[in-house]
Amino acid sequence: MGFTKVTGLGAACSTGLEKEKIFDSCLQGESAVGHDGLASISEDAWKYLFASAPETFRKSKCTVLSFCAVKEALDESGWTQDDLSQCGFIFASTTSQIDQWEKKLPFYKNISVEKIESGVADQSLGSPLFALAEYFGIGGPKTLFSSSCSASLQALSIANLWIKSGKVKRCLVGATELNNDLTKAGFGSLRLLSKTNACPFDKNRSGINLGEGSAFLCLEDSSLASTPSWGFIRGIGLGSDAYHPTAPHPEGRGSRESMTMALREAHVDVLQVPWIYAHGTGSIANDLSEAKAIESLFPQSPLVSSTKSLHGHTLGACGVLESCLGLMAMQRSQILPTFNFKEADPKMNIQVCGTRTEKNFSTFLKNSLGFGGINVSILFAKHLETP
Amino acid sequence: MSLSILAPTHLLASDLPLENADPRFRKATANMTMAAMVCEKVLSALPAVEKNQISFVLGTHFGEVTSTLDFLSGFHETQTPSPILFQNSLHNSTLGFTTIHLGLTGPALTVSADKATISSALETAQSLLEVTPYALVCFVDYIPTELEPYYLARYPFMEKNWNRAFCCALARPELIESNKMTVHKFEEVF
Repeated sequence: MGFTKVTGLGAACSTGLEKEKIFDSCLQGESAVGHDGLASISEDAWKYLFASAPETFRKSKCTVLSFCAVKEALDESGWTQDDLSQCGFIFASTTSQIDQWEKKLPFYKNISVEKIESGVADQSLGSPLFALAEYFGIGGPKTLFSSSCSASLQALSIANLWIKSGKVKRCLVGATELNNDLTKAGFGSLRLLSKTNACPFDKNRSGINLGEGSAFLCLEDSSLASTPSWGFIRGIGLGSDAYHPTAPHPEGRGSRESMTMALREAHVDVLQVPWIYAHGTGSIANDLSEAKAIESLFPQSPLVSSTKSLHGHTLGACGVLESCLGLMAMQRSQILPTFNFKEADPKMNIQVCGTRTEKNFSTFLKNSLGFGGINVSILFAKHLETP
Repeated sequence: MSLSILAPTHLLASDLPLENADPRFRKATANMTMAAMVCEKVLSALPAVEKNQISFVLGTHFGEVTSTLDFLSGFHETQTPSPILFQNSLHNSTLGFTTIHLGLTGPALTVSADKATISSALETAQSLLEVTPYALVCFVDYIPTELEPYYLARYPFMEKNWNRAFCCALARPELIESNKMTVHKFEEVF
């Protein structure tokens, strides 16, 4: 049974339209969160994205943003058209092209037939998946996951299973989310939004900053000869709280289980994990639950970071965006800091990384926790050998 | 598709017991109620197994359309967003409700892959047999009556999957044999 290697990364979000810019903003603490508490892509950046995307994608913000990130990842992977014709493709999104229908379809009782028809046509989450696959000539199996904020880390996990089982040799995995009325009003109704810059794991945290972005990873079987890799997927952990529709288990039961599962599959001991790139939304309940899960599992107190106070919480896309940044950090021997972390919460016994830290490390754990109690953890490693 | 389907079960929205309904479903949407009911029935047909040993894949083309449209129209009308409608509007809320209702703590994923939703949900469940010995796969979609003609015109492949829930189980081959489970072929069921 082979392992999964990461050979290409692409990303675009509110802090930059390419991965290097986003990574630098994480090291420098440059936040895109505005006065409205949202991390939004600027108007100028949208103009650039629309101008640089092929005509076929210009109908929706979702597809132009996805195109930008897919192209960066594929360019780096070195995959040929022949490789792509057999390549799998897993996309994740909870709202997809919502910008095309949320101002039409809810008013179907009072709008024209044409508007209803176009709203219905754009409502299928999977449309961008098939449009991107057709444009880039991706001919293998395709699917889309919409499992809340854990969707894209689930996508990476299933792609890992596809590659290890031999279903595909290569798989493109990514996600895209946009800021929109539905999520903004919805998270507001749950009293989860912060009007100022979020401060994950801080004693005074008050909520999250919603963000928008896209990221894609090119995965392939480690036995294939290819360009140097960013790292390997060594273990996956998937599970559910079965506890509450929109709140995590207060003791982090499900998150602890998914981290345990990822470590077990990777044959890595808890003492060998130096860094946890947390879900860390900045919400009171999420951060406490995740911290409880971490402190109950890791006696050595590894460094814990969240970068959501810079690029915002990109919901279904956060797992791939942050995996991309984590892999870059591992290659460059940098632990990403938790911007805006000032005062430790006495209810949490974890070691939050608040400043840029140079450290050579060869493995890290990435977590996602989502509504519906959906937990995912992935253990990434720099090398195939046990760290 | 070469799959061994176990305990296929379906339920039509028109068969939902609206009067004297089970109080556990009082805050649930039609999607949630149908999904939880068919999954519960399939689960009861499986051998006793820990709830973390069952993966759950929910396939839905459009998710919670009714709650989503009600949430957005209500918000624009009143500027007061409803937290319950938002919670019920999430694409993943049917999955979340069902895992809570049945106490499922294994891997759980929502698949919404347009015309490939059914086949890729089944393939995902099959892949998850690497992680857990059993997997439940459920399909559900419910659309407001007034919008049905528009959805059917745009997505004709939905005709047989409209306003109904379907659930079945998959299992590792050795478990099917050792438990002498009745197997249905993919072609018989779909």
